Amino acid sequence: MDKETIITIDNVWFRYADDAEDWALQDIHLDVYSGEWLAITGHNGSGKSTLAKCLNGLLMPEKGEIKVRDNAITDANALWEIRRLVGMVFQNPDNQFVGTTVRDDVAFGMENHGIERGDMLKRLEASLKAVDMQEFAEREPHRLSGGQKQRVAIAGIIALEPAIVILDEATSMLDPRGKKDVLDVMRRLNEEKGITVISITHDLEEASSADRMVVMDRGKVVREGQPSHIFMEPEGLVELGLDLPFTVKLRQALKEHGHIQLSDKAFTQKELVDELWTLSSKI
Amino acid sequence: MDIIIKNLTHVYQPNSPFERIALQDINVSIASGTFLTIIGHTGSGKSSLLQHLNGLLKPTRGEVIVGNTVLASGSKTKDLKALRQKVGMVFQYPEHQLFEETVEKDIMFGPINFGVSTDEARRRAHKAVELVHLPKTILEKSPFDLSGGQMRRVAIAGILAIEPEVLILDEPTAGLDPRGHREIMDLFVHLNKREGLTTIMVTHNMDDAALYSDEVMVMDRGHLVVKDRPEVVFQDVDRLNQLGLDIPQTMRFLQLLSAKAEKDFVTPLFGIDETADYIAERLKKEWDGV
Ligand SMILES: Nc1ncnc2c1ncn2[C@@H]1O[C@H](COP(=O)(O)OP(=O)(O)OP(=O)(O)O)[C@@H](O)[C@H]1O
Ligand SMILES: Nc1ncnc2c1ncn2[C@@H]1O[C@H](COP(=O)(O)OP(=O)(O)OP(=O)(O)O)[C@@H](O)[C@H]1O
Ligand SMILES: [Mg+2]
Ligand SMILES: [Mg+2]
Repeated sequence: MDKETIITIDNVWFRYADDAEDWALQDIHLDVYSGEWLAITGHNGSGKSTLAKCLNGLLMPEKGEIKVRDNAITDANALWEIRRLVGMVFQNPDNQFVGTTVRDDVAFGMENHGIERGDMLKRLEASLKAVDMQEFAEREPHRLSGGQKQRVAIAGIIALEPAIVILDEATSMLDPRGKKDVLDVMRRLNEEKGITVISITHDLEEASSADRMVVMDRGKVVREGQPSHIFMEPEGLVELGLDLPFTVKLRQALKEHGHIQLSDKAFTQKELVDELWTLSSKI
Repeated sequence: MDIIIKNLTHVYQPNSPFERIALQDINVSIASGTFLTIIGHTGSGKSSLLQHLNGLLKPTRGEVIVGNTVLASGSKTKDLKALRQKVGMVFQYPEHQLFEETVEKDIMFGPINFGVSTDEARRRAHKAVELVHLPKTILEKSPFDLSGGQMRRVAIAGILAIEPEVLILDEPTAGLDPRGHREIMDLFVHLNKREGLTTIMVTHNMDDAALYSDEVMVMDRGHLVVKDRPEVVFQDVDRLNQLGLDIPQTMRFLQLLSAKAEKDFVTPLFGIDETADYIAERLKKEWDGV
């Protein structure tokens, strides 16, 4: 992957009140690369949503600089362009709905982005289909189930095809298949259209499959790197509010058995199965 | 408190073009002290069912009997307040149940509303905040100036402070960090096993459903598909997949191993240690040529 930077975050500090002692973000330095899938994880209250809101100018850092493709978020004239580049699915979809029907809601964002009508209708249909909500086009968003609301919020962003998509725990209330479907759609957009995905998640399995992962702790970025490297050094992860992914835990439990001699390499379930199997065939 | 649901049907916006049948002829009984988990795809009716248990929704047809309280269509339920003191519900979106100026007041509201003294309510609020692993400093904050996971914990604390006999939990761990998830699940299990709280939880996390429940109930498009012990429900892999659901990770791993080995190793095991023991034993047998 060529590492073209799409977002630079430099020395960013943020607090919710001018006189607050606690900073919600402290001295954040982070580059986001074009086309990557970046997972952000960290304990409740570590600053993930706050950071996300700074990236599209919903919140303004007190110190430091954020640039999205050379547009500084402090530049009022660039804000519109930044919001066009960065699409965000919020943690609670209720905060995101504007339309009185699902169709209007998804269309509204596109109208705002000046997408021409013919294209708009195509995208409307495709995005509702992607989240399996075509049948709900005429329904009122606030009269949907929790997971249906999340799906509509995701459709609204998919339709816009922004350069960068931020998912703030956007699949936390989807059933297993729905979650897989939505992540597959996002992955396709990521691979085929080069859309950069920043996924804020507590799901360590999902984070494990990201290109890169960032761990936050009390407003700071405390770890950054490939998921397999981060989980290779489990010390301290639990103190950070995290845990180990399933495969790592199972591998550790298997190694308690003297006759199962495994390396520390297997990171995905498939890798662990393969290693167990190689072990068998050597016997 | 035993809960009995008889022929329950719920229709949203009846007799309008938007009419929607959310629940269709549900029959269930839940014995006092049970930990029941409900799973089902998006829109299958889980939240609608839960909202009948404390009278937030009324049956369109059929009835819901919670202890001595009967909730039925047509008739007015008398002791709704008494019911809500015994049946505490944590909503799918915590924002929907927070409203006071400070976290402390928010948590104290429930107990005070049910006649508990201010001092006692304050004592409960402080204890509840500790139980959900929030720092004491959060008590003075506005519940709206919190992160998503912090709000979730405050909403849970507010229900615990009422000291209900039945806990209704609608995706209570969504948005919690992994450690918080474990701590809060341990808390619910403790309340169920040690203090005998009947617990009814909706979740999309198959691992939690398998690990912690006495019984798992599966819903599909407003219908009840099955209600049985987790070992039984998670054995039917094909049906679960058809319904948009899944098996726990431990079993998914056994599935992968089976495919590789061209043998059937799949069995309903949910804990990581048990699964490791089982794999170790099976592999040893294979290697010894048994
Ligand atoms: N509107 C607000 N006003 C004041 N403080 C806030 C506000 N929103 C969040 N905070 C505080 O800022 C800190 C960071 O919150 P943030 O929402 O960014 O956390 P998060 O990492 O997204 O957590 P979660 O995993 O729970 O969603 C927390 O201590 C939180 O209490
Ligand atoms: N207030 C409402 N008005 C009209 N229809 C509704 C309302 N709330 C829910 N519904 C519909 O009733 C059905 C069941 O919704 P419910 O919220 O019970 O589903 P659920 O199983 O909890 O789903 P999820 O997993 O997404 O939370 C859905 O099709 C939904 O669209
Ligand atoms: Mg957040
Ligand atoms: Mg629901």
